[in-house]
Amino acid sequence: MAQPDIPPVNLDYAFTIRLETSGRIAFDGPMRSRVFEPVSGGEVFGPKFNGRVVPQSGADYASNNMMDAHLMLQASDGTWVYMNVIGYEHTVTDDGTPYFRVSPYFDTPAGPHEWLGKTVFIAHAERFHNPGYLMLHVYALL
Amino acid sequence: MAELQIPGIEVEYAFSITMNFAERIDFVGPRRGKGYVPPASGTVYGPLLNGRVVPYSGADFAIFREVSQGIKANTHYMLQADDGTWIYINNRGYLNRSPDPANPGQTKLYFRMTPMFEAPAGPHEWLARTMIVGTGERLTNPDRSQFTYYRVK
Repeated sequence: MAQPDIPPVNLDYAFTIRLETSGRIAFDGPMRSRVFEPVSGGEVFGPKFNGRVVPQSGADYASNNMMDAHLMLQASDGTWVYMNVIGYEHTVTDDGTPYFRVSPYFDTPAGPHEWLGKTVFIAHAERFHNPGYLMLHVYALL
Repeated sequence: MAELQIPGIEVEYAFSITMNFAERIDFVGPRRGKGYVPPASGTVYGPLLNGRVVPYSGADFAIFREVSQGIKANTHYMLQADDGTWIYINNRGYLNRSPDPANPGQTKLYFRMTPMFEAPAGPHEWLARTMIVGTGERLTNPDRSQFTYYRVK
């Protein structure tokens, strides 16, 4: 088959989320592992969105090394934003530091932030310890 | 906060999918609209995967409020690689409208997707643990969608 032109893909850095967590619970079930890692707070900053991570608004319910986080953000103008982050946790073999390739999805009211609910994002995320938090660097797929 | 280094993120072309449609069913319920768009056939081709879309193995069960405002795609299909491997794809993302350069004054629908896959252990299992992003557009005559997928490194 003739190869058509491959359209370019453009990723635009949008914002970074510092996602603080505490009280992680993990267990292995017969079919899958399950993590409950509650969100204790954090902040969002960057060129396209600024605000906070609402403390105790949700958690990562990861299973079999697949992240599935549900939580609330609040923009600096007060707008509520629901966020669901899905994706993969990878282990870097040389030093064992885990990193994530994930995709956050958002629900927001009509208004200045509604583009979040119509845009596909991907994020590079890293985990830090003592205190425990994740840094998610979020890019919009233009 | 101290100056933060924002790491870059890179993607590489993985494969394309051409999907052909014979019917589209939309209905509007009391809370939202729902689409049912099953694939009649399709082809997967590119450097990282080659095969077919299994006809009528699923559909796009899309969600919309006003079609003019955009559509939330949620497709479930089966693919079959050239070596016979069965692959499940759940394609999530959005259809939005943009000006159509070929038809001034008109808009066209384009896709942005993050598909998730299930594949058995073997040469295609990377699909089940790799973030992939897709772009695409809806085409007519015949009714089809053209997707381009990229592996996030």
